[in-house]
Amino acid sequence: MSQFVCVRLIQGNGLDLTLFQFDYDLTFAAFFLNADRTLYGRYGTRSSLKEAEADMSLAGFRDALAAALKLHAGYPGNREALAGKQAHEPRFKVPEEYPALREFKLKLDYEKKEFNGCIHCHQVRDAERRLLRERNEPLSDRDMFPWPIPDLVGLALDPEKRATVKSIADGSPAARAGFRTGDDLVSLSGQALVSTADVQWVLHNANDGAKLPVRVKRDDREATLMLELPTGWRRAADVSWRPTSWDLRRMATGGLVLENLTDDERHEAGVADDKLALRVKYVGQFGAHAAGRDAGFQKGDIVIEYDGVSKRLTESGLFAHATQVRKLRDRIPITVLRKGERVKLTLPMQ
Amino acid sequence: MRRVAMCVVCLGAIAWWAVSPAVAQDRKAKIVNDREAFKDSDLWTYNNLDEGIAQAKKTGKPLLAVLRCIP
Repeated sequence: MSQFVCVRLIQGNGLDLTLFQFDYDLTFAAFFLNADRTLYGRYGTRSSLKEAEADMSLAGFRDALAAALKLHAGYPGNREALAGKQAHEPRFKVPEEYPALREFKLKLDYEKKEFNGCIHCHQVRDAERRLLRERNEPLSDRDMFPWPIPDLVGLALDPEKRATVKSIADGSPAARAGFRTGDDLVSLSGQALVSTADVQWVLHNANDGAKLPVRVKRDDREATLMLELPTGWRRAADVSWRPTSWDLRRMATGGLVLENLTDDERHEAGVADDKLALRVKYVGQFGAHAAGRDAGFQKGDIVIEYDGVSKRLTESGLFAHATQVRKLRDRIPITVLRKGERVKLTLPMQ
Repeated sequence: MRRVAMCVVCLGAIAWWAVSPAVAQDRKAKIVNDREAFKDSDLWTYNNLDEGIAQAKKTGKPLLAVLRCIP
């Protein structure tokens, strides 16, 4: 650590979005930079609400630090390998420029006891989605399913390492590409990797059908594999654990929290395996999050048809339908099972 | 059940936050404690990216910027 100049940032107010683009649902994020603001890499991965830091480790962070130091030592000769890692031109340069965040101050002066009014990182993602929603623009898959973890393409990376393959899912894009357990990922799409977060950055920005060259170190030799991303690959992501799903629920379910039924529960309710069945686990009670309650939904209702869709969906898939197909202020028909009876309700899109 | 409970707790917390000076005090305490913990650090620059960049330029070291919200 002493080989770095270390800066601790504790709030999103005034956050430079031309530099800091990352998974805003993290509890901990780190950036490795040159003084000229060239980014060497990112650190920080999360795939669970309860176990917020299970995808990170001190050993993995140490490896990322070491990899960043190597990139620093090779700079500026390695600029080409870093080009793709740099942040893209953001819609707004700081969070406070988003309409939803204009009430916040650019800087909190703690000397003047301004201890409240923090912008939390997840509010940046919320503000972006809200902006699109209010403009009646559908959310893209990238907006809806941000920062995909490599597991989505069948590649589980070891949190204790920089970017080492821990396992590969059978039949997955990673299996088809020829990855093996223990492969050490050197680069992806030509970008040098210091962590799983760097892998996620490439995946986050990749399009359906993209073919991503991956340089791997295997048995002291290097090889190039080709990772092909199938159409709709990121739609398998579960976003329901994310803090930013809170605002998606406002938009898509009027504040209802929905959960999958088990196979036994489906059988008991008489719902086929390939059909929609999401149980209302919680009904919001305040403000816009009470729209579901006001529309007549009750805890325990089982949603079996949502806006004409009756195929099996997760809560995340339902969010996607609502924000990609439906617009603000649309009113959609929903059918639920309540005590064995079908009940038809209408929910306003927000 | 845990998620439901969490949502209830969150909503309750938000409502409480709006009315309770004790919460503001708690947040103040967290920030004060966090600043205090880093006050005498030779390693960390606190909440000032520009200062960190200036130091990195001066020393030739790379910069490590850590984002860690105080909830």
